[in-house]
Amino acid sequence: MLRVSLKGVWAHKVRLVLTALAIILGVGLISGVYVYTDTIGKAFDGIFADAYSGIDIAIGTESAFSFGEGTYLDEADFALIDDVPGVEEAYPYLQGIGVTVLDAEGEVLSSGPGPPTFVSSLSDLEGSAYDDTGGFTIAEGAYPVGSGQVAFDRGVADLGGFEVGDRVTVISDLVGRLDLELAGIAVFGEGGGLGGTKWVFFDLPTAQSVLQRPGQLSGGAVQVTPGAQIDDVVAGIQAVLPEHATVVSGQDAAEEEAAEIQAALSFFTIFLSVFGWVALFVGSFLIYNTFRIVVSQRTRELALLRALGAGARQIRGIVLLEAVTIGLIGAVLGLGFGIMLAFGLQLILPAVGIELPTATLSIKPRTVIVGLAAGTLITFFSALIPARRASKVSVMAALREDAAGPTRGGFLRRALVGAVILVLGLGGLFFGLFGDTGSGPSPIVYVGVGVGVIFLAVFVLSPLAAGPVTNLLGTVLERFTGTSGRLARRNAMRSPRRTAATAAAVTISITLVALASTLTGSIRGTLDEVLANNVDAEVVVLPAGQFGDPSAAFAPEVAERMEGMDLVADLTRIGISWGLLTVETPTGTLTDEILITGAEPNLAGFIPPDGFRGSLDPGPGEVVIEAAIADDYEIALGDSLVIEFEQSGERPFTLVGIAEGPAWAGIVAVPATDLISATGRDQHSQVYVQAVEGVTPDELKAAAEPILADFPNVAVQTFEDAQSEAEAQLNGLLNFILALLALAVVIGMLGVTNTMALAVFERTREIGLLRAVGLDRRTTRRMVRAEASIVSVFGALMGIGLGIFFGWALIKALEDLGFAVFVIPWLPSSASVAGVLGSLLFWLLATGILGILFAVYPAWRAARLKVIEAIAHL
Amino acid sequence: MNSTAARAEGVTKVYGWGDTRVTALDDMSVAFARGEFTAVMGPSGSGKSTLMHCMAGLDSVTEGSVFIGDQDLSTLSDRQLTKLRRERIGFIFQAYNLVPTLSASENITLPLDLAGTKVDQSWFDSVVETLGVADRLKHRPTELSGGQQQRVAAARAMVSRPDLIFADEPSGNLDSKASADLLAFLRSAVKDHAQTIVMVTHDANAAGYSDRIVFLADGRVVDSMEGPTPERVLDRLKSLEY
Repeated sequence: MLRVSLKGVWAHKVRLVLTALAIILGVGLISGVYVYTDTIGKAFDGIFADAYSGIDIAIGTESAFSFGEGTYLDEADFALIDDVPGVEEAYPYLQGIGVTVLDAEGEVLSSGPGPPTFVSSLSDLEGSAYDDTGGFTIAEGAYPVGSGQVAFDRGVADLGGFEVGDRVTVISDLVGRLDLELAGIAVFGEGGGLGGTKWVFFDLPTAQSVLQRPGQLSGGAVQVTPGAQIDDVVAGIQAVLPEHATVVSGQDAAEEEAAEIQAALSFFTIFLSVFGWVALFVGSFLIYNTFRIVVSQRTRELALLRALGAGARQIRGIVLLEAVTIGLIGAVLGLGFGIMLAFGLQLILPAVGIELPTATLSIKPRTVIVGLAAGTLITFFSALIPARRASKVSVMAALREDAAGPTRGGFLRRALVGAVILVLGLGGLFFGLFGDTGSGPSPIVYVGVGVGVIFLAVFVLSPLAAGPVTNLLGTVLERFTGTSGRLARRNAMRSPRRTAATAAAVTISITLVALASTLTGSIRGTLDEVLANNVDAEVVVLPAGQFGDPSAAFAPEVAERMEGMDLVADLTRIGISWGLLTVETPTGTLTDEILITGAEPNLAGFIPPDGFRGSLDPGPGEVVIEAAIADDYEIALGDSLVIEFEQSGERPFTLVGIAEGPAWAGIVAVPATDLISATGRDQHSQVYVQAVEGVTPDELKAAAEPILADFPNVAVQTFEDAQSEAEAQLNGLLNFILALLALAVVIGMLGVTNTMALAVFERTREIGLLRAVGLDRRTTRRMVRAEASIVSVFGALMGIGLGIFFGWALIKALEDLGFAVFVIPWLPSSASVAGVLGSLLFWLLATGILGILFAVYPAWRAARLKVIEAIAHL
Repeated sequence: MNSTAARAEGVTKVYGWGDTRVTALDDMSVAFARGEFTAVMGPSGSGKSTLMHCMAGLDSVTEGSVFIGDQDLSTLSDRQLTKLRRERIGFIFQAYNLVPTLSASENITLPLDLAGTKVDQSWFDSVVETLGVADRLKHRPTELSGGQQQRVAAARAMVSRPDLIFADEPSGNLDSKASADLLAFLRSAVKDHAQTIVMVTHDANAAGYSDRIVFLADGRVVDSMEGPTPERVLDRLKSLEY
């Protein structure tokens, strides 16, 4: 039996290659992601082991905030450590963010999107107990001493082309411009960088001044006296330090930090491998369809085997064994492809400015097991239904010409079953999105299952639509191509189930493409709406180059200078900080980490709400909240709530106003004075500026820029700038997702290739006949390509419909987050590549063209058939 | 105007090499007159089908020349041959004559559609009338009987007014009634419309409908007969020891 299977595989090499290709690509992406992230993880493990080597005890702080500045230790508290028994020496340090390095031309030094630049204290430990600790040490020049000196890590120095002794400029968000001497260049551990992060080093007092943390520390490192028990010393130190201090052994600290990175990486792994699973899912349709067609083609052969005494079970076994063989071959090659992919990523990412630590490739048993199992099992399950069908082939079929087609009754039953499944799927989706899931599974489970079930319903129902829709598409095509178009149309219509199953693979990938396009289109629409209609200001001043950190800030002097300009009529300053909002509701306590806005009284004049209740000008101890947030927390005017600030703890507030409209989306506004006292920071994250009558935004911007020339860390944006910047970010995101989905699209299209190749084989006689009565080679090719195109566009139509629907449902569900506008991006949003890629009409057209391209091979085969042999075939 | 619709001159066709070498046509010369119904007879392996394939430009010859009218096929490219087939030659095969996705009417006009030629409606009407398929035009091939399918195929072969029609055992798959109907229709197409038909067959009854029979054996023309009847054909076959 094995021999029959293997011969079956070998006899159809094209089918083998195409089916295996789907597995190779899917398994390749999954295993590539595993290998790559495992490798990064291994590199980080090494980095942290280095960083904590030689440190007996690490002291830090913990915070309830995920996004805040972190909490600090007082130097006075830290000094108590010296008296704890067993402590040989304690070495304090301060770390933070909030500086920008300028290059020689005075521009912000940047290598592209990435983490912020870190500031840290760094002292010479030569001769102390920490001589052999890991971490940063000066490799060139000297340690920075005093307020006039700084050190950079090797990465920053190389990026800016700096050398020891150069004059360099660093902008502090809090204290402004610093002109410094580059005293030295630091390296991490054995001489590399710390995973591509950028570092600026000062001595401790200077770091405290730059970060405005006088007398404060982030933590420290402790060496114990020889012979002391580390656990005892840890307990002793914990006893003298405040509650928010964390004290752990160096070894534990290394493991904890590595574990944190692993957790972050595993999110990355899951996110990326999802696209691999999607590719495999699409591939499963290709495999299912291939085996379905193959079984019907081989009906007579299988019936002959039955006649010769093969049992139903043996027939099933032959088909499944063939599937598993192909799956296994594909999975093994896929693993190899994945390893090459990971290797390629290591080479490519640094070249495009994304620096992650590297190590030799880490191929874990998990990667191999998951890859092989995924490839083999998916092929096995995809072939299960066709194998069952094969086992039901009757001996009589060997003697008959053809098997009967689907009956009318089957169609009615199909419609009913499909409708029931569709209702179930919609129910799950809407319950997950809008319902109260209570204590059951999380909404995402309902949404995921709902989406899966809706896909299933569409695939049950799609054969019903395949006939009419391909007829319509073909009729349009026929207008342009004449007879070849008509033949293609009729061919696409002749087996609705096959057409639908082939289109299904295209549908899944195009659904995701359309969903991504619809979501980005809607986000863009919402931004345009907010910027165009809801902001009454000519320009806004923002921190520059702070990639998406909304609480990034700049010094008050910026607003003062703007206020002094003749062209400026009015402005409002906005401070933003993270806070924990806690509300007691009848059902329990709700706590969330959200952004708190410190507002001036005139804020509402710059972002006018659509409507409001109560007041828009909170007084001390009062807060104004946007309506959707108020609804979420079930709070009404006059209710009290608590906001906890990282720097100063909990403060009570009274809700005095509820504002509506997209301009206020997500805003929780307290008086600026309250925010300043709560955070101890007088700084701004946004300044909205209105120009005097008759001055355009561009004129105001042009006038403001020289005035703020010595603040390179702020940018003056008109709303067109803001739109194009948002556009660029959205496009980047969309491109990234589309690049990952490209694989699924390719596999879907391979399904079209496969079906067409099998169809050409099946219709050998018919093609021979057509050739005999005068169909020339070119028209033959055109006929096959046109059919592929019709089938692909049919799949894309279903995918775009589903994508729009899922996008709409998601936007509706996320309305609370400020998604005010639902946009169906039919046309390109701009003339850029990403603008075109985000357009649904482009994808409709593209699948049509891809259908043609992916049918080139079957079309060539069809045209190459020798007429006499084709007529004699069968 | 030449009175010969098609002719083969000294045609040799060899398949394979060495031990598997088969000479299907051996220096054969034959001509088919315009407006005549010719039957080509011979035992299996005598070269009937090969002759037809070569004469229709479906297959190339090893030596010699094939002419459709005055056109030497050996000088034509694949595209020109395709064009020639759809404009000047009609085909009726033993089975599987029709494209299953097209209606009877669409099958009939297929060569014209492929050539981008307008259908001559009165000729079309006359042809479908002659072949008795006028009331089946909207039907798909699967909805037609075997005899009807072959008549539709005959209508398709005639509708482009080809120089000649090649019929390869056209009644081979039909019962005797349907077979007699089809052959009578072919006969009347020749008589009423001066159509040239070359029919390959090994059925003496079928050959009896023709004007003239060419007998083949071992790739050569061995005999011919004018105005045959089935009885005479059978006698001749016996004498040729088929």
